[in-house]
Amino acid sequence: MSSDNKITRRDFIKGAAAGAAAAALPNLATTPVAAQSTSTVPAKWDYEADVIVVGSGGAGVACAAAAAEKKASVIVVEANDKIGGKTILAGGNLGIGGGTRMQIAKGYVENAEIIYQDRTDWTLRTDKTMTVEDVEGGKHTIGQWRRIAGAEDAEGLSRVFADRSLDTWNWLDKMGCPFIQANVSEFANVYRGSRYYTTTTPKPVNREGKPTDMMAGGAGLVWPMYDVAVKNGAKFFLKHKMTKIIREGERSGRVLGIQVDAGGKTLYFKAKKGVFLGTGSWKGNKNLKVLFLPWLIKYPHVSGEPYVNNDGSGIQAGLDIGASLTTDRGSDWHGWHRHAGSHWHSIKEPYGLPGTANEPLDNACIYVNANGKRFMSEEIGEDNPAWVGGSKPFYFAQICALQPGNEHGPIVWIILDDDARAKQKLDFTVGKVVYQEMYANAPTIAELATKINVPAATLTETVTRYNTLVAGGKDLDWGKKELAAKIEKPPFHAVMWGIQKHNTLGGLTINAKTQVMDWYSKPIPGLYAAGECAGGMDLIGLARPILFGRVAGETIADEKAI
Amino acid sequence: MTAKGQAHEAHISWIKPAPSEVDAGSDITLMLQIECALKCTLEGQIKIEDAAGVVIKELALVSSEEQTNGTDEFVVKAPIWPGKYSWSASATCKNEEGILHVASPVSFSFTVKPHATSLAVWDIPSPVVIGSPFKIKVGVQCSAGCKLAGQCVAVVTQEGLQMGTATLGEGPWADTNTLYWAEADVAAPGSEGVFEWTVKFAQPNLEMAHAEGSYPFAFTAAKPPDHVVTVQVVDKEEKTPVPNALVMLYPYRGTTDERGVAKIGVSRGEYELRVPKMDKWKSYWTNIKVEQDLDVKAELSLAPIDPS
Repeated sequence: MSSDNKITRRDFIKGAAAGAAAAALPNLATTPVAAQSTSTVPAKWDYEADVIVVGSGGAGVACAAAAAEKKASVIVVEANDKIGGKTILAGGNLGIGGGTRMQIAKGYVENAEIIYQDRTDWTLRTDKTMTVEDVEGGKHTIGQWRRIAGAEDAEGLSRVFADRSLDTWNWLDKMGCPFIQANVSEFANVYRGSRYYTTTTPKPVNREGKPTDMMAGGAGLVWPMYDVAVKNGAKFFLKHKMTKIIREGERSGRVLGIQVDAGGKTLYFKAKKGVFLGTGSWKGNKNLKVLFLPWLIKYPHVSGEPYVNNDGSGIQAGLDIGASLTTDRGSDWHGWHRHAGSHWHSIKEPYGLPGTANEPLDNACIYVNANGKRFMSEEIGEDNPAWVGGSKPFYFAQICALQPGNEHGPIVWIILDDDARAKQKLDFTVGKVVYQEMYANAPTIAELATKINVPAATLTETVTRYNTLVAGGKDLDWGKKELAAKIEKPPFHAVMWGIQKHNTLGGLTINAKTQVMDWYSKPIPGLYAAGECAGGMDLIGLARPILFGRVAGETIADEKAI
Repeated sequence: MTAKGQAHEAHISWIKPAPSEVDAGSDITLMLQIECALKCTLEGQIKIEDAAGVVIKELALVSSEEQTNGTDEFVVKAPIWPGKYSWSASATCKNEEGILHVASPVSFSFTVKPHATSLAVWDIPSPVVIGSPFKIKVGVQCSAGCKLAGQCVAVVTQEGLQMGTATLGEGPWADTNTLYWAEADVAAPGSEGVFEWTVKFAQPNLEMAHAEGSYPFAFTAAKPPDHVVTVQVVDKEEKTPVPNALVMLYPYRGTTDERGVAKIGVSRGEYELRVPKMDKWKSYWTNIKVEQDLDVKAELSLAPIDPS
């Protein structure tokens, strides 16, 4: 259904005036939280549109573009001063397929039924086993990664995902997303959404930035969707953070709009057709960490930081008005990133230092804690299919979480010699690649220990012991299989792991139309969600937010306006 | 002219006192000031003396906007021999009217430590062939950065038997400023096994006192090879050679050349052939039995990549 309620300049002037009036009212932004928890429909709305989109990551811009294309008026509010959320920093490997032109060009066969079966039929998942280690170093052989837990339709989401994959890929292709080619990779059907994912040409994250600024495949997806949304009338409000979802009753009735904090000023945005939440993960929210994955509180950093903070406030706002939660279906199993020398993931100038481009090979280094002792096999998780790229499974992060730490999380030093550094061409340039406090080198292990503030005698003993194990060809202490090199050639290097949670899966419960559900499995009228703030399918990467963001945009645009 | 009875009482206080422990011959940075109960502005000399009254340092008081009656930071050299030392600071000053200010000498104590030394041992053959002398590199570093050229190191067994010696060369090892190194010729063990020997830096002949240092190193001794295993390492998908790949046939090992080939001499027996994870490839391993010269092809698969 189309709407005549395009946002006009007059609306903006009116809105600005209303904003000024709101600012003259008692300071709502500083009203105690308890008072804010009761439903309050504002006497006057500052802005209104058919669709109020909260967050401009992959889900948000897909929703905005799809809704705007269907002639709905759209306002996007974004807490950050830049659009794109975490998606814009992503590698751009898109797990959407179903028979795309690039899949056909490579001879890859995939259709909606194959995608659906891959998502729901556990017998199609291989029956490989993997060995995991518990926190005491014990080994357990268990079945394939999420063989059963992930194989389900998830409120009908898998069916929709399968059926809408091809036309969503074509939608992105047509709007100019710079796709390169289809690729095959191991377990892609399990964790990406398509057996044959598409790579995307990296584009500048900041369009107005310097040529040397960060490039990312995710930017190649976000900017075309943003352009389509803007071309069709969508308005983006940066540095506007949603503080509350406004529903008719405290936990009843329709969702009418949202309350927003704009630099200390409280504004109200009315959604005539629906509010869409694309507010990202809960992984930076302590309360939600405790709920979903308690030991995650040991890790203060999240991937995408400091570009985004994933504070989970969208999920909390949904809970406040009666939404239900879907449990996390496996982000404990995967989705960890570790970067030597940096606390961030996929962040480069001007946002931060990226850390070393390649992680030091496990078989040519050791990990030690702040006491200078090894505490695990460095190749932990190598037989886990959830290991992808720089990711390590939960038990790597869980064991690290038991080590002494500081305000940045557990302290884990990688110790390697100059042979290992040279063979991998590892760059440890301080201030450019690695942070000063996360790197040191020295001619001897004893001096290295002094520089990184671990006991010199202990670190010397640890390295000597490791070298003896390498000479003997067997890791009697931690069972590491590949003892490729001793740590002996000066200068010696210590670089600290920055460990971040890459992604999460649990969130607000949504149905196949992306409507947010309440505890009684009833849709909350006027409220939609997708991306990491929503629960459901066990997919990581860009496919889930973009496809369901688009589904939400189309669905809301077709709703009747209030 | 100032009468003795008119002298003001003053005392010395430290702004930057001496640390309790210092390295032999190192710089000790000090700073102090004179305080007069009547707030006089003073001129005069500060003197640092050792326990025998030998003057270590003399310097003038300075006055500036930041402070009055004090010194700038100044440096004295610590003794070169280890031990406990007690020195003193005294002052002779006058104010603008020429009134003498008398401050009792203030003593301060510190312990002089020998310079610490730390060692590294590298380029140890793997394996060492039993009965055949081998070479290793040995480096020694002084905590104070002293030049250690010409000093001797020794390689000893766990039983204390000396197996080799070396004299540290003139220049430090590449990418270090202070690691003086040498190549040592070492006699090999006469039997197979894993050995843990020690390199010792003892009784150094240096101007400053230096602590002795030692560093253990481990190696495997194996029989001389009698067959050659030729391993061709290729990318499984592209069928292209993989150079610089480590090929392990424990305890023997080799590295592939530009053609992706490693020729490794081994003794007769059963081995796990392993090409450890590197670059974009996953690990490869297989079991082989060597009874004669052997050709093996190792195909490396690509590791999965980041999903995002």
